[in-house]
Amino acid sequence: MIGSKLAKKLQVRIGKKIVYTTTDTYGEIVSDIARVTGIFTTGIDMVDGVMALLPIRSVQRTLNYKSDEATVIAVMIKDQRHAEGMRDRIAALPESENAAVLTWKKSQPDLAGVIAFDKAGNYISQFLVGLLIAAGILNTMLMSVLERTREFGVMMAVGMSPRVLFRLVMVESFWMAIVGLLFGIIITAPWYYFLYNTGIDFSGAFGSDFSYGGVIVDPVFKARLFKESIMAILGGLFMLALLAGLYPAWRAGRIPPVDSLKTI
Amino acid sequence: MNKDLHARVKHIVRMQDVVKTYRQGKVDVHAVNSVSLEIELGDFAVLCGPSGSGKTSILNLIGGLDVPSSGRVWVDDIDLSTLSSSELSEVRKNRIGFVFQAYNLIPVMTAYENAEFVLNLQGVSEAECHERVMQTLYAVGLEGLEHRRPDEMSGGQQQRVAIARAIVTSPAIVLADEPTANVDSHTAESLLDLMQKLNREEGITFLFSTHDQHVIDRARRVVRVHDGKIEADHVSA
Repeated sequence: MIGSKLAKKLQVRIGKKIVYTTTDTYGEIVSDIARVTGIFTTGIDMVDGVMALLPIRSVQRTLNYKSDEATVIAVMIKDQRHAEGMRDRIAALPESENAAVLTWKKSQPDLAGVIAFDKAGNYISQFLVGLLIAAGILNTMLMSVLERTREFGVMMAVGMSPRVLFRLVMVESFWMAIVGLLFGIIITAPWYYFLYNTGIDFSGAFGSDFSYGGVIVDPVFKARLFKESIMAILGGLFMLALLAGLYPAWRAGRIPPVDSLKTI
Repeated sequence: MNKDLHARVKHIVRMQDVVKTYRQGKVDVHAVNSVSLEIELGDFAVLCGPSGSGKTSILNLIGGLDVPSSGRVWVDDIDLSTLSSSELSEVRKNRIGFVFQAYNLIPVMTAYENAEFVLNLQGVSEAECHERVMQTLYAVGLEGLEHRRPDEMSGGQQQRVAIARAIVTSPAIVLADEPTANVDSHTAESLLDLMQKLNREEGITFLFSTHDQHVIDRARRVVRVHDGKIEADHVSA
């Protein structure tokens, strides 16, 4: 099978023969002939324009490889975060004795470096967004407390203790966080669904042969949200909301009732 | 009214050489200047004097809303000067009722809920709460209005809710700061009738701060305050 652009370049169709030349296991130049049985299109120029797929047995024969020999075996796993575990399991197999078992991070260090750098930038921007969210919640809670200063003064005048008032404002923060998260989930869920299933096609901006860190990247960017990430985001925002409520709650109980009652 | 209270104490409030100084810019203002005062249990007393004379400051000190700069205040034989803010809250919750000039009801609560609020703070059971609130609202003439919010009631009705909130816990004393200042004279008379009745029949001690002559005329004891000091103290026969 060959890529559609390569087929066009070589002016071949299905059923036509192609001669390919390469070096075998002894470093000798060898050639063989193969019939085109299929033409594929991925939309990525660097794949469609250079790639040919051959049956492994025939290639092993041409290259003078034994039937259990290969230069590279790529193992595809669903979740790349389990790559280290998979590597350890494969390395423990007796068949791997003379092979180097590498994760994608080791085999593609450039890509791993670029992704690590990108992640670091992402964490910094998430931290800044978190700060903005905390400032927003703090402002909302503080305003909510300040505009009810007199009301809280009355509550304290008739016997509510600063501790109970602190608890009251914290309970408000708790419910504000719960309701805010629920609304956040409702508002953002369709977007996540879209980004997860359809994604954003950047081929118009980057072309269809966009490479990143030495690896061809699908120009359709999709979001992937892990269960752990969802829990971390929800938990983090919830804690942020509670932390932002601490100061207004503390402040509410600190204003002497005699001062609160003077507030208009 | 708690009969045990009558057996225990004669003076529900005692103030001894109380001074309250506020800082205004670079000047110290003596709002209360060496005041010593005793209020008997069951009294219907008035602190009167011109604006800025220190009436409200004295009420705030007795109510534990403010702390004296020096001197001591006892309410029901409890020395307020030794208490933390949480302990002062306990005293206010269990022993003192407040009626404010501006009513100071909680706007999002109904008349019933405003009166119930303090009982909830005291941890009174729901059934007892309901009985006491309904009895109190009836006593202050608000039967049928218990589900109205403050903004759905007249000034007089709101002040009745405030009185209900102040007396629903059977406090040792009710401190009323200018309770008739924001209502017309007819409403003021009916509020005074109500408080006098509660004093006479329930034995609740009332201490007012006012410069309303109608209130002063009704008081059994009139304490005149001027420049933070007690100028005169007159008890009617």
